[in-house]
Amino acid sequence: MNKFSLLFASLLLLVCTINAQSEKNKKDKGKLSGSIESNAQYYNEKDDDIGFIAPYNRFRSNNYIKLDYTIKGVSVGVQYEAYEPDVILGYPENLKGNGITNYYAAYNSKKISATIGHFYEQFGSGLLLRSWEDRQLGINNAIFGTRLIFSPNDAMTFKAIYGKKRDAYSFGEGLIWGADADLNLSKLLKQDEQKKGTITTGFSYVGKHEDYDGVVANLPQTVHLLSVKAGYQKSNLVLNAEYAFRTNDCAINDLGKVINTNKFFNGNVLQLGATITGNNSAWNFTLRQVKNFGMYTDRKAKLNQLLLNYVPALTKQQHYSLANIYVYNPQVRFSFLPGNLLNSTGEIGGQFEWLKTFPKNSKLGGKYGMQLNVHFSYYAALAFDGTDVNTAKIYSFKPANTNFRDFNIEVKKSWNKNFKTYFTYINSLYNQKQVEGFGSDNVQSNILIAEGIVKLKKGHSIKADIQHLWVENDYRGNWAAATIEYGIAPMFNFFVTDMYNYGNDNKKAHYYNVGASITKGTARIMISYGRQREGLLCVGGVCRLVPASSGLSMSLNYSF
Amino acid sequence: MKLFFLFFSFFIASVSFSQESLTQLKLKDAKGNVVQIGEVIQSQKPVIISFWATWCAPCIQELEAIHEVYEDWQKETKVTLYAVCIDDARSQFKAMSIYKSKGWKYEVLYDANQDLKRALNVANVPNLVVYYNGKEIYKHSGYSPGSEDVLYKKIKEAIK
Repeated sequence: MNKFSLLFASLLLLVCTINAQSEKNKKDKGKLSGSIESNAQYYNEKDDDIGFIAPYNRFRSNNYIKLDYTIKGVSVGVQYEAYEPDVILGYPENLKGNGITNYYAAYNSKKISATIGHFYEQFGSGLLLRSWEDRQLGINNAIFGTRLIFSPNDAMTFKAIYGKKRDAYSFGEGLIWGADADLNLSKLLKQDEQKKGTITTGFSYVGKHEDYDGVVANLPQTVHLLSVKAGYQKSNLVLNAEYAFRTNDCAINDLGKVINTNKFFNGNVLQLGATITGNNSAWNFTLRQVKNFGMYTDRKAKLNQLLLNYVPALTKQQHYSLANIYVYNPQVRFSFLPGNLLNSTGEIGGQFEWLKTFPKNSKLGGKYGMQLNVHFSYYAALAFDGTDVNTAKIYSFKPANTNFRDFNIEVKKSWNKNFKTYFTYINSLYNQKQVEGFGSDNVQSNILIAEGIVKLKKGHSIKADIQHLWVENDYRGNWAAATIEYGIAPMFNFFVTDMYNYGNDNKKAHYYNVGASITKGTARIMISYGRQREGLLCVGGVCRLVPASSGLSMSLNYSF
Repeated sequence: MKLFFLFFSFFIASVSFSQESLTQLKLKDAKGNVVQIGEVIQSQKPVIISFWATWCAPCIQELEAIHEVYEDWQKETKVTLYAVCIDDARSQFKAMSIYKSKGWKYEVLYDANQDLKRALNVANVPNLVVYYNGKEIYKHSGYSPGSEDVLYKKIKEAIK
């Protein structure tokens, strides 16, 4: 670590020297940019209605300062994070404290990009490798090491990476390295893309290594991952296919413990996608099988810590509050019930989406137009026989019981220039027993949502929605919810929301929130008071379990 | 091996200082063509870089609202809007369905691992930045109905 800091410091010095020199020649002083984000919570002492008791530190805050300096294609940057006096509830606890968490120096030209220090990278869609930051989820698994990107022309890009992933203020044990090639064959062969369409292809390789001196004999310390992808696009048609494979690895249970077995397991993903667009309409199809492919760089890692790759849920991303109660967490790795009984090996399924715009002055569109969105998804567990991982027979491409199924329909209609409405209906089946390890395998819900937006004079607007959720086979029962927002563009926004879990006989609680936000340019301050529902908070198919809480929340964002 | 990598990139970094200065970030458009952001924002006509995602309702509301008046804006100010989609692999392919079915006339770009979003220090979507002659003239985050009118006023003021 010291070695790296030294190298980094010397590079900074070098950049400063170059900067000084260039100032003599031209008056290019470079550009300093950055951002500040602060999220704070002041918890109520207790809140019996939702079973909340304040934690040891009642005031907690997560803070981020990021600074980047760029001059003549060279950039350097740091990120400082402070979780003081403690981490907000629901975030990884090893973040508590403060320090410089990320730093890098990079050089970018038209053809070459080189980075040392922390960087974010994704090969293709991220099936083999993704490092990213998501502050809402408490994820920052930047790779600390070296990256080279070479793009000799518009048709080819090659990447190579080497390093370790960030874990709070330190790194994981696992070393990772990899290479990626992205090729546009039509451009390489100078084909007429208008006539013949565009053909693309790509190859990725990632290796990971972590020493092992435990009791399991012959445990693979190095694991290799490979993927190949192809795409075709012509006017209104897009086709994609990707296949990925990993070599044998040990089985690890949900607590990050290696299971003592003499058997090791490979994994694979096959993903097929098609998009067809027509006159004011579009169709999407995706099919995917995932077997044992959700990976960490370290064997002991769990939850969202040290994720190596990205295999998100391919379902609709919902934005209404009640639609986010039964969200699907994809089953992408082996999971075990207590006693190391094999519970899941992967999933297989797909989704379909249809979007249609009925234009203005058409029969269904009326004077101001109407839009329709229909979405369906279905995912089943992959089949296996036996629960002892030593003797279980594990299949590929063979569906077993249903994990998740949903059907969504959304209609947006503009009634006049200043008034529009959205109606949403969602029907879903959720196998809580399979996905969470407890509860019913048949949680069925129906949700109805109506939303209206009225634009008043001089930038004033009102947005309101009402929602209802009916559920069977979940003790938490039905929910009702409503939101009302008053906006004064572009600066002010006031909101009141409530979710009422009236169907829960143990805890009939209102989860209300009252708040306001002020935005000026890139500065934004938000203050709210209320209750947080216990549950999964998901962004892009990665979820974090949020505990119930109540109190005052503040957040501040600024960038320059 | 580790040291080799470090020194190799150090070497590249030190020999090639004397080149481009602006952001060299490259994004791909829907057809897989590479677009250099540094060149885009140098335009002598106003350019709006608007960050959006398929799951972000206010983003889509904002782009729909601008869509209604975009032709007029283009006629009057020659403005171009680059709708930069920050969706990851999960929903990226849905972006095309959305803008094609809605008939948007924007230039849509993909920021798959959010490199541009990070470079411009964008915290949340929706978020837009307006450039004119290579200079940033307006920035705004969040959307409430009517924000688009303020945006257009800023563009018109800038090009006067």
